[in-house]
Amino acid sequence: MDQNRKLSNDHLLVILRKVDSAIAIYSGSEMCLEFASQAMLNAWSKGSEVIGKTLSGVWPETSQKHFHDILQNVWNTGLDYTEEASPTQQVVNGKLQIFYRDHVYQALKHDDGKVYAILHTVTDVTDKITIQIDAKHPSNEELVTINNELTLAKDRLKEINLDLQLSDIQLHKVLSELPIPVVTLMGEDQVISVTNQAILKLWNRTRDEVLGKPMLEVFPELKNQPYPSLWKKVYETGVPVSFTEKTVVYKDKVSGGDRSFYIDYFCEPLVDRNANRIGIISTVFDVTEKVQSRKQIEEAEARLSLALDSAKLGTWHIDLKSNELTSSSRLREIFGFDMQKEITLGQATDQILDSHRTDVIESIEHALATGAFYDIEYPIKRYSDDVIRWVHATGMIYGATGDKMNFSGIVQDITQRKFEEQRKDDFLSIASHELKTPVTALKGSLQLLNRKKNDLTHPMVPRLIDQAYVSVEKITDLIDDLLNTARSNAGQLHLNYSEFTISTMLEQCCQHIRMGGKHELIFQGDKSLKIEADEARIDQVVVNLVNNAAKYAPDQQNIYLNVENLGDRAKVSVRDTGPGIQRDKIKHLFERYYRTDYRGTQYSGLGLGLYISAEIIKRHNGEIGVDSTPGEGSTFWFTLPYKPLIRTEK
Amino acid sequence: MNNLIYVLEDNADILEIITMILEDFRIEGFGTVSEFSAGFSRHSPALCLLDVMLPDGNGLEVCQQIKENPSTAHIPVIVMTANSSIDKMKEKGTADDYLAKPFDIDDLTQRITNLI
Repeated sequence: MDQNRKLSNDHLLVILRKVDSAIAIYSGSEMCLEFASQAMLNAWSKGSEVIGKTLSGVWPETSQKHFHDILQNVWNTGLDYTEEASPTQQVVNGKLQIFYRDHVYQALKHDDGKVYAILHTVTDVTDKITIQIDAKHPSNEELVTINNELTLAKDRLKEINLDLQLSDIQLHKVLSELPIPVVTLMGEDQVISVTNQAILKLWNRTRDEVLGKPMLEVFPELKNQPYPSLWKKVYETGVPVSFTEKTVVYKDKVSGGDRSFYIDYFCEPLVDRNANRIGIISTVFDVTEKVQSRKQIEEAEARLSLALDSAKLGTWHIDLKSNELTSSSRLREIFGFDMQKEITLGQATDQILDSHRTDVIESIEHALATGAFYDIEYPIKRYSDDVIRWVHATGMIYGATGDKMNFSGIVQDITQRKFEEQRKDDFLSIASHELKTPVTALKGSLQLLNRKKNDLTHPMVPRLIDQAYVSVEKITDLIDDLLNTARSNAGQLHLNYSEFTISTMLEQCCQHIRMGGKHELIFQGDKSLKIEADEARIDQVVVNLVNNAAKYAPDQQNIYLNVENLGDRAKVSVRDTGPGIQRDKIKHLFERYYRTDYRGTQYSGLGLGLYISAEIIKRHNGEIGVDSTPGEGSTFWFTLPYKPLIRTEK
Repeated sequence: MNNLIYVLEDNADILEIITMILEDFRIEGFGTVSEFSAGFSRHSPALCLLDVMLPDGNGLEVCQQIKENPSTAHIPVIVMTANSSIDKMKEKGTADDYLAKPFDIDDLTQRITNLI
C-alpha cells in the first residue's frame, strides 16, 4: 500500500494545514506541537512559528492547565476525549467575543496500542450555540452585566461566609455565657455534644468530664428518672416536649449525696441539613428557688389559714380604689350570710347596729386618713336570723399611697367574750352590793355604839355588838368565797387528804342550819362509808349545797342527806322538795358568777358557791351534778373516789 | 305630828339598825314590796325609806307609783342603795333624795329631818 502513495508526509501536512478545519497534532509526553492547521492557528491567534514547540512553549501562561491536563490524560490512558461547546473568550477586532467549540482529542496508537500522537480537532459551533442561547438567554451585553453582578455576588458571598464564621464564634460565645443551662445529646446513646457554663454549673462538672460521653454514663442516677426515656421519645418521634417544675436529682460527684432541683424543661429534636434527626437539644430552667419560695409562701398561707380557721377568724380586704370588699367564708358566716357567696361592703355595713354604725365608719375613716390601726368592737344583727352578735374588727392600711393602697384585717366573733364580760361586770356589781350590805349593818352598829359609848348599860348596846359580830362574819364568808375563787382560778386550791367517815362529817356540819330551826337535816344511806379526801373542803361543799337548798326551798322543812356506795366511789346527795330548777338554767349552775336570778336579793350571795364546790370536787377527781324536776325539788350530788386517783397535794 | 316612817328593806340586820338609828320616829318595816303595798294602803306615812333591790320588785318602781298617785305624791321618798349606779338613779328617778349604802347614821337622820 505504501508503494502506491504519491505524497510524502510533508505534503500531507501541507494539505492538512489548508483544511478549513482546526486540527492539531501533538506527540511525546511533553506534547510537542507536530502540526496545526491554519484554522487552528487562527483560533489560537498564533502564528506557524509555534509548530515544533512543546505545549509549555506555545502557552507559557498557566491558564491553559486545563487543556494540558486533558492531553496528558489522553496520552497516558489512550482514551479519546470529547469536549462539547466549550466557551472561550477571544478579542476579535478589538472586541471581546465568546466562541463555542467542540474539541475532540483522539489518541493515535501503534499496533501495539502505544500512543504516539494525539489528534486534536476543533469544530466551531458558536453560531449554533448562540442561536440556542439567544432563544432563551439575554444578549451578550446583558451577560456581561450578569457576569459583573455574579462577581459582586461572589464577593458578597465571601463576606457573608466570613460573617457566618464570626457568627458561629459569637453563637458559641453566647451559648456558653447564656445563663440558662443548655445541652445537646447526640444519637441513640445520648452523647453530650454541646454544653454551656450554666448546665456545667448545674451539674457541678467540667466540660472535659462530660463532653463526648453518653449522658447516662456521666449521670447514672438519671436511669431511674423519666428523662432518658423522654429524650429517646423526642429523638425518635421528633415531637418537642416541655413541662414545668419537675424535680431532677443529681448525685454530688464528691459526697454522692442527692442534689435536687426543680426545673422547667424544653426538649426539642436536633436535625441536620437534610432534616434527619441526629439528637436532641434540651433547655433547662432551674426554678428551684422560685418553687421553694412559692412553696414556702403556700405553706405560710396554709398555716395562716389553719390558724385563722382554728381561731375562727374572718378576714376581709377592701380595694380602696373600687371600694370592693373581699371576705372570707368565715366572715360571711359571722355576719349570717351564705358562706359561699361574696358580699358587698354595703351589705356588710348594713348589718351593723344603728347605734354603732357611725362609730365604725368614723373609725375606718380615721384609719384611712391617718394610717392608724383600725380596732373596734361593735354589735351586728346577723343577716340570716337577726340574732345580735358582737364582733371585734381590726385592720391596717398597707402598700403604697394612692391607688395601690390596701386595707385588710380580721373579724372575730366575740359574743361569748362579751357575754362573759357582762357576767363578770354583773358579778362585780353583785359582789360589791353583797359586801356593802353587811358593811352597812356594821357601820350602823358601830356608829350607834359610838353614840352610846357613855351609856354602855343601854339595852341597845348588847344587840349592836351582836349585830356587828354577825356582819363581820358575813363579810368574812364573802371574802373567803372570793379568795377561794381566786385560788381555784390560779390552781392554788390545796387539798389535805385524810380518811374520815362521811356520815360523821355530815352530822357535824351545817350546825347553823340545825340551830336556825327552820329546816331539818335528815340523814339516809350508808353510815359506815369511809373516804380519803380533804374533809374541810368536802364539808364546805356540803354546807354550800345545804345552804342552797335552804335558800331556794325556804318553805320546805326537810333537807335530805344521802350517802351511797357506788363500788369504787361514794355518792353524796342533798335533796330538797322545793320549786326545782328550770332545765335551761341547769347547765350554767356550776359556772362562775352564775345566779339563777339577778333581780332581787332574795337569793343573796355571790353566786360562787356552786362554782367553788364544783372546783373542789373536780380537784378530788370526782363529779358534781344536779337532778331537778320543776315543782318537785332538786337533788344536788357529788361523787368521790375512795382513794385519791392522783395525789395532787403532798 | 305624823312621824311614821315606812322602811322597805329586805335585809333584817339593816332594818333593825335603821329602827335603832331612828329611835325618835315610829318605824314600820317591810321585807317585800307586797307587804309594803299592803301596809301603805292602811296608813299614810310621813316618809318612805326604800331599798332598791328587793325579792319581789324594785324600790325605784315603788317610788314611781307613790309619786304618780296624786293622793300619795306628796309623801317624801328617800331611795337607798348599795348599787354603784346611784348617779344614774338620781338622773332618772322620781325620789326626793338618794342615799348610798353604807350610810352615815347622822346623814340618814339629817336627810329624813330635812324632808319631814
